[in-house]
Amino acid sequence: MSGNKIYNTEIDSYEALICARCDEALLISPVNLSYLGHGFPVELPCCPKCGMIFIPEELAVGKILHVEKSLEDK
Amino acid sequence: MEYYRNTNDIMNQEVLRQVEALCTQEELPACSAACPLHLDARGMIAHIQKGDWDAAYKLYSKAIPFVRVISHTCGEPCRSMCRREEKGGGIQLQKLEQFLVTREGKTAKPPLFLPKKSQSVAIAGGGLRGLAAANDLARKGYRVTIFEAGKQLGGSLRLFASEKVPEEAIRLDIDEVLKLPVTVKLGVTVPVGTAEEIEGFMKDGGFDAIYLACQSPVAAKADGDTLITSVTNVVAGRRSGWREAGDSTIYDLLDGRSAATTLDRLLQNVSIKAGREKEGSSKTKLYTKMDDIVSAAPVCPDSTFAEAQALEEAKRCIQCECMECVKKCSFLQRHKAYPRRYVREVYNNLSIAMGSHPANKMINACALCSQCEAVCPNGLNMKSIFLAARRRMVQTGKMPASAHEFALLDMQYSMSEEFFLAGTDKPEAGCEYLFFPGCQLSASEPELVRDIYNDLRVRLSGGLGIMLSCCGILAYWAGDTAQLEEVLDKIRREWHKLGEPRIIAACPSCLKTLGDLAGMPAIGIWDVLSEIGFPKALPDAYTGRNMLIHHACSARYDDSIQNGIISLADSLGYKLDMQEQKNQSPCCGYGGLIPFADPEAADNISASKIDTMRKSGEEKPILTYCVNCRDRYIRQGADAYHLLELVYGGENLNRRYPKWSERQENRAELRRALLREVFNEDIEVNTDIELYFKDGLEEKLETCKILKSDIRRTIENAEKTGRKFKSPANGHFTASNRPGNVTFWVEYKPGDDGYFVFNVYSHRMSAEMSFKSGTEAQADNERK
Repeated sequence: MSGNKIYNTEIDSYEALICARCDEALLISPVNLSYLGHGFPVELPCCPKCGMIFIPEELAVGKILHVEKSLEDK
Repeated sequence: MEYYRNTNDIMNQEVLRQVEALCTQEELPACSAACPLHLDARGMIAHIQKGDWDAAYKLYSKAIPFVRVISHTCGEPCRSMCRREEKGGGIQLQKLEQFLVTREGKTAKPPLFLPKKSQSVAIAGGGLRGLAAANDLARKGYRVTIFEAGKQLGGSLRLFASEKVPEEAIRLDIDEVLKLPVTVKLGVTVPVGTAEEIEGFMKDGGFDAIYLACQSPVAAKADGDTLITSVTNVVAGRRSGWREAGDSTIYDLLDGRSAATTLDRLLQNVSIKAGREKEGSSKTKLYTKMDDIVSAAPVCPDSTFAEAQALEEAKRCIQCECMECVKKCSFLQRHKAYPRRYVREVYNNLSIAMGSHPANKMINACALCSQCEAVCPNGLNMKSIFLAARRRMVQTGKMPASAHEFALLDMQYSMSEEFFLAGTDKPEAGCEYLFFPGCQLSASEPELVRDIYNDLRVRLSGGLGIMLSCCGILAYWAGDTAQLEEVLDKIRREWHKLGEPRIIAACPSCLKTLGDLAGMPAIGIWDVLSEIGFPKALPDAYTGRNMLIHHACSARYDDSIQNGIISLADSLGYKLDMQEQKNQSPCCGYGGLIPFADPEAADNISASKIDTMRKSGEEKPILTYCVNCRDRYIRQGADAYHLLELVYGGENLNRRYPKWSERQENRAELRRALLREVFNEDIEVNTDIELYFKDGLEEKLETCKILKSDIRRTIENAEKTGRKFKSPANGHFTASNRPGNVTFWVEYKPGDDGYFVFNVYSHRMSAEMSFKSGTEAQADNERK
């Protein structure tokens, strides 16, 4: 994915969550969001051990929703 | 009416034009159509009505040359055609124009920059026709020479000078043409007797073309539409066709202008005839409703206008337009135009291969109720257009997934083992009838469905089965033909197994879908009740009340349903208002799946309907016969009833708008109850985990279309797998689950006997870790 644009999710603070199964604090990691065949490399909080991804609400109902709608109307 | 035989037809330009033509809103108003130069008199008067004299004059003088002469001499072909004619008398447009010229008229300056063309044109005759042609041609850049046999320009205008129009006005108007690069040769007679003479004249003078604006045997044979003659580059005479007022000067302008257009096209070597069908006077097709217009006599018919009279006369103009369907439909109003535009927008939207589809939202926000068709003088049915568009979008994969998925999942729920049921309690007794309560009556008032079934079971002979199912209308509205067929196939199979009984539908939409669309024998429950009478214990809570009836859109044009309901309500003792709205009744806001695709548009429609009813019926309760109508109105705070609840009453009616989750739970519970009570089957019930919601969160579920079952599945999955996040600060867990195309997120905390839910949200995008493993990412982070 290096060389590709990383979309800024503008999440500078997320609640201090830990992965309940691995007992690990989340770390910002590269994640690929995709919808209707379009992919968006972003960085999101994930469990460093099991890779479980956290998508905060402000992102889900903000930028993600906006992109979903734009793609649906494409 | 359906306009398309298949989903390709909506992309057919020929069909598009036929459909567009049904909407007359863009047709010229009667006055402009009658005016040979198509002056936008409606627009001009609109400016006057606002007191904007300057704008009115600009509009007038831009459309009409020789304003001083014309405003005195035009025979007003517009006036007899004006729709005001039938309500007091046509608008005195000429006097308005005269006033405008007096108030605003000033000598027009010639354009600063004129195009230049090398060709030169001769005009034989310096009367108004010749001058008009010269004016148009000079402005297009041709080198124009006017040949006038007499001593001055103006021709027959001079005959009625001072009598009809001041000499000075004629001079000023002619001077404006002379400011253009036009050469005038007075006292020269052009030989126009034969083709040879004319050709010789053109050759000698070096003219490329000529307009004979004078008497000539050649002119007599000219084409009446284009004034073209059999002699090369010779245009002559007057146009044929409708001339309302004899020798009115406005037709001289038309002749001159037509000649100029033909000459220009000849010299530019382009089609002479193309696109000129609308030249000259015509009759408009624009529909304008006159019923509510109050008669008003012309202002000061015998004298010229001062400002006050001009304003008063202008105010008599009704600003003709149709907009009949738009006036009645808040959806059509919301998109700020009218069907002709919408039809074009839908076509354009479907034609876009790459890029944004701006009309998607509009296509999915129509209730498909056909009120427009019932209102439109030409019967234009927007349902046909929007439904065909949806079908095509589904077929080509262009339907936004979020528009109808929730509704279609709900339909699948109805068709699943959670709700679907088909059977009869006494198969040996036969099954002459099949009660089909529909999905939403069961979702909204499950007890009512039980009461009805239990009553009909006793009172109908021949055996009564029941089918709990969706009728498929949700898929029909979504334009999803494949899912519709699946639903109908399942219904048909089960109906066949039961011996093809006659279906008794409790909802007009189910009746139409199962009867008209699927071709099964079906009747409405209202017909059954009017035949067998009411159950003995008729509740009397509302008897004798006045009610406003709201006719369901699926009952449109169906006298038998509408009258059946009215007579049933009548025998119950109700006095109904608004019966005249039968076929023009608007949608309640549920139709066409708008509450799913565009909840705001749906709310607008419901509110606007309630407004209309309130205006005409104060605060009377509303009587409906489709539970979706009732629920939409209750949701808006109106006092609304379903006819069947008035027949059966009962202590256990919900009488409120159930949330999405409750609608599913009610259906499941109804099925279990019927299995237990009627079919003596006790089915195992999985006890759902108990959920306790933070204040206000249940409303959020409703808006975000998240079901409690989605939340339960997310929590169960998280608790089973341990895949959840934990907040050390408050001990809440946050977990996600993606059972289909949507990821649900739930923030919760286990309690003693269930779970406290603090937040929920969802998204449709899916997320996965990029190729870097967790460890690599960790290393990256440490480096940062």
